[in-house]
Amino acid sequence: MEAANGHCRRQLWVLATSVEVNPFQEQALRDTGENVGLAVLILDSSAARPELPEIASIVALCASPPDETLNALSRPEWRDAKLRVNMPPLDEARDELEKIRALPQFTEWLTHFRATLTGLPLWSPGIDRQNRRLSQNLEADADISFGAEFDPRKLVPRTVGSELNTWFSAAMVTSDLRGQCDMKAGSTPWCVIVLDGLNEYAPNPDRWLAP
Amino acid sequence: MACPLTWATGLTDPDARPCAVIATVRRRSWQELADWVRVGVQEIHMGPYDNAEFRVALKLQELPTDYLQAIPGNARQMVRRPRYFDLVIKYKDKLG
Repeated sequence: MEAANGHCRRQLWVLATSVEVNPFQEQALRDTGENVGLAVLILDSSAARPELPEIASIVALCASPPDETLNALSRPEWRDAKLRVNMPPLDEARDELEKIRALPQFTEWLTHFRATLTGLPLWSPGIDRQNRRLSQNLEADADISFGAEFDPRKLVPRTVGSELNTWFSAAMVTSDLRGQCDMKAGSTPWCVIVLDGLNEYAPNPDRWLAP
Repeated sequence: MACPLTWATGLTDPDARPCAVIATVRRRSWQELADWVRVGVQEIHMGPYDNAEFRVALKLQELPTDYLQAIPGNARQMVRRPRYFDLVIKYKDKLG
């Protein structure tokens, strides 16, 4: 709902919960995230398995930078008013976080967690990967991929490129193109590039080749 | 064309993320289907080489700037189209 309501800059949903998310809930969340173009990261009570089976992933996450966690805990605005009265002393919290960090498989969990984060299908990195792949296809095997050879030595810069750059700059400033998650097609900043129509209606070569 | 445009506009699923850029070679088809995209459209047309581009293309092929004079009149428009530029040059001697 949050993404559908127009929070277009977001690329990632993080669900942090102290209970275990069942497979049906997880699939429903991932499906919804995929539909609205958001990656999903679930930090539930089971996410730190198998490295830290007794530790909830959100707790392990808090232990990964203990100083930052303690700094946040020390600021009143981060504390829930109702829970504030039961807040343990910061020294106790530090001891608990350090114990978690000292667990034998903590480093292994942290490495695995970092790999998970860098592997998330985020929208911007996805676009970057796609553009790199397209560029590689153009340079390496355009003949196979597009049916026409690409020789950069024969590249003729098109003056229409400046129109494209102008549109792109304007769209980035005035619209949600960066987030690209407005669900209504009519309000999306559209650019339509109409290429030479001769590709659709090929000319009769008899008109220009001698018999 | 209708099916890809349906996907492009996100009309297959109300929650789907529509694209922002469409590139099409089907100019006539686009005119018929443009109403599907209601507002905020900027069309950018990419046609044959203009004079400046054509001069660059000739220079890259080490051809003279007056190359048009060396080919039949009915091929002079064709040679400005990137898709046919190399073909016209290659088959210049077969042009009618």
